[in-house]
Amino acid sequence: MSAATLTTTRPIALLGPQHTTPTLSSALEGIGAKGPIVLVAAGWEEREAETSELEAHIGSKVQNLGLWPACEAAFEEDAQLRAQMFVRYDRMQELSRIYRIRLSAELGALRKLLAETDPGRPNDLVGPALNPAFEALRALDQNHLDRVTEVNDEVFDAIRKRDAVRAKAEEVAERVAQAGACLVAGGHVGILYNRMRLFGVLDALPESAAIVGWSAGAMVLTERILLFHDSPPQGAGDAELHGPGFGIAKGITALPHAGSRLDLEDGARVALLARRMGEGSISVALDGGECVVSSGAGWAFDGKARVLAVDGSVVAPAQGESAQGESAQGARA
Amino acid sequence: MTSQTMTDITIDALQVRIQEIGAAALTGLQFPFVEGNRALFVYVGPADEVRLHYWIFSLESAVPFHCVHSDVWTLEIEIQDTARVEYKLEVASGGQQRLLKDPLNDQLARDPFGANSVATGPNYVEPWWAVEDRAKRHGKVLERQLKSETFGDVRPLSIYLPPRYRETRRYPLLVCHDGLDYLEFTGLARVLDNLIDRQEIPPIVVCCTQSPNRIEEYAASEKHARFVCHELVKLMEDEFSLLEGPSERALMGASFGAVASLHAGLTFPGVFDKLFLQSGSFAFTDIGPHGRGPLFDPVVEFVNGFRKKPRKPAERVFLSCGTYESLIVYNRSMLPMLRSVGAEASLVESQDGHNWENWRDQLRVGLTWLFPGPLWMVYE
Repeated sequence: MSAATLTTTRPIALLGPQHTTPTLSSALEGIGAKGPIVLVAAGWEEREAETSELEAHIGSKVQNLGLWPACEAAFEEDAQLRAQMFVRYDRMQELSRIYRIRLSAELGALRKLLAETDPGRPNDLVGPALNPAFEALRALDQNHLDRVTEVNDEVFDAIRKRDAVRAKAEEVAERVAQAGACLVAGGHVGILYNRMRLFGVLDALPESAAIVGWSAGAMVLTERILLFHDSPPQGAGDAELHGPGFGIAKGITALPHAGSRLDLEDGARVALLARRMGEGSISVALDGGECVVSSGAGWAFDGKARVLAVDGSVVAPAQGESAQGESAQGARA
Repeated sequence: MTSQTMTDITIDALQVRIQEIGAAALTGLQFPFVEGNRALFVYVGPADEVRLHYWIFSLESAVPFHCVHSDVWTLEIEIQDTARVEYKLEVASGGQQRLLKDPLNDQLARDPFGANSVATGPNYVEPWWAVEDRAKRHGKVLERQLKSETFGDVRPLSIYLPPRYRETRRYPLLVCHDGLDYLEFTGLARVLDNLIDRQEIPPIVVCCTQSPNRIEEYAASEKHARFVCHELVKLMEDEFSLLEGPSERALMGASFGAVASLHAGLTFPGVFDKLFLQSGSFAFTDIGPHGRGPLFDPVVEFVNGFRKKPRKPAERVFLSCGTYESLIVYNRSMLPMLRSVGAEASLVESQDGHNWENWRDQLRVGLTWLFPGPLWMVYE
């Protein structure tokens, strides 16, 4: 995998959660976003319509695309559509199960090897085994992404032709085409991705329109949606790829709530995650108040967002400093 | 002595003080008085004898207090770090014997047979998700009366529907033996609300069933297994929007309810792929009589049969049991057997006894193991 570069001219900002330290307003200002502003909040599910706080914060009305109720209505109206989505869900579950079986083995092998040597100064026998082990892990991740992509393409291509979806998709396209900025809120990352994909939200977004995503909204804008939690109520807490994102924000892995979901003090876990996702992608912790914005061919930091480095450290690049893929991590490793 | 300094007193100093000034030394203190792994029980009142009754397997069940001052009786025992011990005081006076809840202890545990006093170790924490209502939304519990063809009578059902239950969604199903007791004595609906709210388990439909004759029906009865696996599951599938297939169904129960769950899994394989067995009464005999009374005869026969020819009752089996229960031995022996037949099985032990609060405290670990929630998927 070669180092990805951010070649888009579209203003993009990825933010951490907005509950306690809302920074959306300053982010919009920072990237020069103009109206009209459309909002995707399908990840909030049944609370999608609760936008008053958000509007008060940015001091402007937003056009809520209303994807959640639209999808519910489509499911009600079209049993065949619902059945197709259920089939997709079942297949995704099965793909995840298979992926986890292999993931557990690959991660287990890597952890054992890493524990047997100092990754900074690997010994002559274990050291040369590390790169192939990481490559095997990345190949597995890529294989899972490819399989999910295949299922997604097949199912979404079919269901987007259905009457129950088409009318709403056309309405969405019309509104999005007029937008100066698109906001993508957090919530359930799978539901958010599915609803956006179902109604083709980003298809009609002008190249000049700004896009801002926070929490799950940031994750779906990247190329790969990584699910993570170091201390779940059950299990080893193996971070896993959910599937592809929309690939608008390139060369970055968004880790919202990293401060609470990841053990950032555990250098070995940090190093493993950073190196696994590396080679073309920086892994960025996005907690409350933290933000990265697109900057030419890389990402600019606001002085708070932190990068997980391959040496296991977590560093906050200086304000305005730009980072891009592996080179940024390599510099700090 | 002020109450502040009283709270700083050591257990040794307290015992000396009780010997010196009697009941006046107790003012402002909580009992049993716990310091590290030592617990001091105190009874105040006229008595000929006072004993501590607790239900800890392998320990003496009635331990005598000592009279250390006029009408003040004390007993010190070891208490483990995360222990929860239910107990009563037996007070003998004038030829009469009474079993009392500890008058100096407000902590009580409820069960269908009344209440016991509770002593806890220094590191036991009552789980907030079991006792506090922190959920932003709540499920609802529907009451149903099922006219059972299998039993020819009417069975009460309480059905928990998760918050925001919708017909356009599909949900996993959990069937719970002694379900009405689970609702009352473990606060099952509150536990589910909290775990669903924290995304630790998915929204789930729970069918709580209750038997009028659990000792017979839960003791490896084929009739009961048919009722659960066919009649109950069909009713739930007909009436509610459920995910299809055994992998999305679990059956659970405690004590004899766990026996009924295991038995149903073996009798009608492929209906439930998940079992949650709490303090299962999996008594067996390798040789000789089981000594647990005739009620256990069918259970022992069933478990002996299972041990002789083990089969897989479900894909995933979660067991929990208290280490103060005599049943711990049987439950531990289940684990390798289940694994040997290809089931994914896990056993969690707690420093607790055969009681509802133990079963409550293990709900989170069991439910999240069987039904991992969308925690991984939500980034608000």
